[in-house]
Amino acid sequence: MSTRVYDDDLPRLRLGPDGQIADWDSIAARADDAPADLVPGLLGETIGTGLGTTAYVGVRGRSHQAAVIAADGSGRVETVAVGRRATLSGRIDRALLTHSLVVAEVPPGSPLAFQSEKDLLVIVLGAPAAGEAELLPTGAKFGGETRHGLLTSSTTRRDGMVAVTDFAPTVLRWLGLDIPDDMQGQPMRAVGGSADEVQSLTDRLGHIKGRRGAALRATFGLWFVVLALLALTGRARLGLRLGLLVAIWLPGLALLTGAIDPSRGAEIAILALGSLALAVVTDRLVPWPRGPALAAGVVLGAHLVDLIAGSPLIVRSLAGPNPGFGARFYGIGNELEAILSATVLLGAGALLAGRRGRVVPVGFAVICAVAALFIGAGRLGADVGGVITLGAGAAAAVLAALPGGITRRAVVVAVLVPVLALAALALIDVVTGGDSHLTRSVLDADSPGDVVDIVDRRFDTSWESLKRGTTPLSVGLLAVALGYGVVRRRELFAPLGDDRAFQAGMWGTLAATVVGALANDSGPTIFLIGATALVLAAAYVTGKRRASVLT
Amino acid sequence: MRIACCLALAAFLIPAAQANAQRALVVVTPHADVDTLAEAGFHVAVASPAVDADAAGQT
Repeated sequence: MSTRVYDDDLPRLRLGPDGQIADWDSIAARADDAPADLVPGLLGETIGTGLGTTAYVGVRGRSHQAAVIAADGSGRVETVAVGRRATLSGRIDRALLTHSLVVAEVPPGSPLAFQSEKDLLVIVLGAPAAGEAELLPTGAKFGGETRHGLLTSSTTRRDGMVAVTDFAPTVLRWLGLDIPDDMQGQPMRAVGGSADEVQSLTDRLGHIKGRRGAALRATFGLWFVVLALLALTGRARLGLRLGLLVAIWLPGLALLTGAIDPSRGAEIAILALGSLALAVVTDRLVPWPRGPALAAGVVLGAHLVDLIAGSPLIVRSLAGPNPGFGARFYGIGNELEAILSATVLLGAGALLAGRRGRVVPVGFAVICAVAALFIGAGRLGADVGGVITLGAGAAAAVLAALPGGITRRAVVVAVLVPVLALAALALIDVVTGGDSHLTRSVLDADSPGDVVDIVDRRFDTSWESLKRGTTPLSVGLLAVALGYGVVRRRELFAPLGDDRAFQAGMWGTLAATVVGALANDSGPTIFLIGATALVLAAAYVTGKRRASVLT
Repeated sequence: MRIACCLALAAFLIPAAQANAQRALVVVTPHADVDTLAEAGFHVAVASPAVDADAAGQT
């Protein structure tokens, strides 16, 4: 189980001969303080309520941490059988004769051969090593079946991947007991496939962790070098235009490298050189300020196609929601939420640049509505936070693009539309069985207090991440840059003349960045991405070609 | 007589219920890897240790 959600380390469990886990109250208090819905002992308690019994079988001198799985709400395990390693197998068999659930802690060197009976579910979990656990090898055998393949669950929607929260619902369903509402997971089920696929996904996810930062540094480092060289030759404007185009192309190329999983050096080279090359080609083909529209259209299109296919490439992308980092296994994570929201708004602004009248606000509304549908629908992006982020950006962009200026009625409509969009999304989710985070956490909340608790947790998580490493410095510098841009907006937007579309895209991105940072549990990350996009967009505007005329 | 009948019925039903009861065994071991588990005839996967969506970036 992840230790990230806890403030303190788990104390070493002490299991008494009477089956009582010592200091259970402090364990329960620790779980209560964590920014997550954790109910220690819920599995054992549910089995006991269903008139079943639990047992723990272990080897003398071992940790007995696994006993917590069999404990009830008071921290007590009904039967404990701790003895010598040589007798472990026999004690497991005996415990299974009289108990509904048997939890066994098996030390290294013991065989993994267990009886295969039609009424027996066997789940094996590779115990986490010391320190932060990541992806844990898991096996399950449902009764006396002989075929074997992969495991999946509705939590992950990914073959060969489950969550630890799925174990308890799997056991309860096998035992024919109701799954309590407080359990977050979903029962595991068997699907076809081979262990090689699991290994391939695990390898790829392992690669992502060490490559994200390196790829970003290489890509934008290369852009800085090119910008400096162009400035030395009197072509700084070209360099300024390339930054935003590089940033928009980068997540598109990350889908490609996710698919082929090249070596570390090759992936970083493809991303850095490829995004720069595509930026140069885009700038040559599409006149300023419409270049971002082409890049955004291609990159968003690729992501939409992947979402329809179940996000197989997004999960393997450096910009994707790496399950090794957190709890998202499909769809759009927080990083991609910020990237795609900025891409939609800036791309729409570039596409609508040069147009006049109501077509600009209507264009923003339609483009953002379509994008929000893909980002938020439970069967696609499943990112409710993304709908809030993009909805706020869309509202600001529409207001900024209104030909008659901002009226009170326009403000009311702009605020109401994202709220109505969220309600529509929830309705779609319920009807289609999308089971997104919105329906699970907000609509299924038992009381208003649960919703307040969710909001409280998000702020806690966001605040904690703001204090990490150089994040406060980066956030501070970018906040100053954004403030400076807002104060000097007349000079900043001067190259655009009286065209409001590109400006509206930037205002929308600013609103999306601020609202997204406040509404999500990864606020600093969303702020850094959105603010960087705005700085690059400002550079793009500044890099206007001398002969550019908006028509 | 009534008590004896109840006891006899219980003696008949309880073992039958136990014989038909589903049971579950959860094994926690440090040396399981996906290939070993597959070779042992298990359906396999990797499990994310994240315990809650809110806590880990699933919004």
